Amino acid sequence: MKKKCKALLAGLVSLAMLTACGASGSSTAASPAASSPASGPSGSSAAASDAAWPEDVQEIVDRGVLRVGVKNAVPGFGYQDPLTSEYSGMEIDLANLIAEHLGVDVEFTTVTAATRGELLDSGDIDCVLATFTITDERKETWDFTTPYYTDAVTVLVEDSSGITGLADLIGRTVGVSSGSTSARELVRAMVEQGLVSGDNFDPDTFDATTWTEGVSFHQYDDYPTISTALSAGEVDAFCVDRSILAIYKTEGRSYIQDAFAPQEYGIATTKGSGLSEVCEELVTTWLSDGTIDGLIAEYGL
Amino acid sequence: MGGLFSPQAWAMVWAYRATFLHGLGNTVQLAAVGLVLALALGMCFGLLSTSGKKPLTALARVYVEFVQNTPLLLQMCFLYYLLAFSGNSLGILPTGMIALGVYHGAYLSEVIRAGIQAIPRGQSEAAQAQGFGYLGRMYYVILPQSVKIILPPMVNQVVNLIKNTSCLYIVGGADLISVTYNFVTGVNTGGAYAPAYIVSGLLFFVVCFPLSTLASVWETALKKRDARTTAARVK
Repeated sequence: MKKKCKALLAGLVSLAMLTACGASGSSTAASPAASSPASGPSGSSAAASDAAWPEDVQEIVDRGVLRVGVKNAVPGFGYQDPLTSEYSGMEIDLANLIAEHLGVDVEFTTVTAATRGELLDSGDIDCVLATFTITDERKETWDFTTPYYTDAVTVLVEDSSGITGLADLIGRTVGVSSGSTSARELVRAMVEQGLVSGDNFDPDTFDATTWTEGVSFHQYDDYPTISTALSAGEVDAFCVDRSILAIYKTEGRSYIQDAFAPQEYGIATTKGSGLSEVCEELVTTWLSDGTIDGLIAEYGL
Repeated sequence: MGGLFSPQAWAMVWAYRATFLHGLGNTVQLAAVGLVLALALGMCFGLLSTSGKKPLTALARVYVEFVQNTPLLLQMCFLYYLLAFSGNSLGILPTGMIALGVYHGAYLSEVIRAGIQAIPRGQSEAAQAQGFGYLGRMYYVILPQSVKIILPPMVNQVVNLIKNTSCLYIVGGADLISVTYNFVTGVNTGGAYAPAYIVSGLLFFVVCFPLSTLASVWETALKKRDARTTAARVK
């Protein structure tokens, strides 16, 4: 497992070096000022050791391993091959790039929408790259970087159900992932379309467990369970980010017409930590040098 | 946010008390119906296994061994998906009630069997000699004596049944544990881990503790009465 991680890392390091070199070359040509943050990723582990890291980042460097919370069942973002147990996806590559920037190994921990915050709070992981939507409430608890990907929420249904739009969802049960924003955004979209009276809807106190106006919700721990529940007819619709629904859109299932609540994925770190600044700097660099666009294209997101 | 002593987190749990009560309500419903079913099944199969008739005993054995030697979680998933995919879905709560009833019914039937078998054979024979039929023997002679043997392990099972409502979580249930879990991970409610889990634990305790206390009080009372009647007889 560790060997495989290392092998994977080595491959990615060399790949990243190529892209980083190319990037720093082009940015120096464009503007000399922009080259100073870019010198971070291009300087490899040798340079990293004498850089003055913030205290918490130095701890990670001393430990020699960056612990990252990732998804294991979201192809394109974070996916663990059940046969080889190797992780792949855009978020995995980004995590590897961060580790490479710090000059440390990377250790992946599988998280769910429900466990990622808890694990970050408890210090079991250093950062989360797990299709983590940035919200104002979450920003109060954790630090988020500039978004590296923007997604929208939509609803997946069985064709046989005859549901084609939000209006058809009235009186139905919708499966959502516990800890996700999907339920609230679905109700918000229904309120905005006038399908549900918004009198009792307060986005700040919305709770999917007790919501019964127009739609009700079943909350599940993971996406495959919701998909099974949809097949079984236990829920009439499956509501989550489109990038995630793409995996479960098998034959005989379609999206409804509406998509709503554009949401942005960011790297989450402990509030006020030095790692937050490091990650923010890296993401900004990757956004400007095309690293992220390249990954989005590579994984067809 | 997650701190045990964070007043904010406690305030949030209080603000969403309806959510916890909703979960508690579902858990109590599950436990109540599950318990009635478990008691009925337990009584029925307990009597079958002490009937002395080979086919009846065998039937009870098959039920007990099958249920006791597979996990409740598996039985619940199996029942839930079997019903759902065959188009006869009952919904989560009724499925949970049946699964819990069947599972704990097997344990209760063993408790009842053991209680009945603990009464010396002579009691039954003497009652038969007095002209009691099967039901009369059970009702007037055997069961009143077995109650105090049965009671402690039975209460164990009842308390376990209440706690096992948490297994519904695997199929996206709405019991207290699922609700707590959804609460601590929720978008608006996330972060108040310690207070939420403590409140959930307290709610379980509040339901289970009086039950076990009631049972021990009842058991002591029965034993005292027994001692009095024995003493009276000796005089």
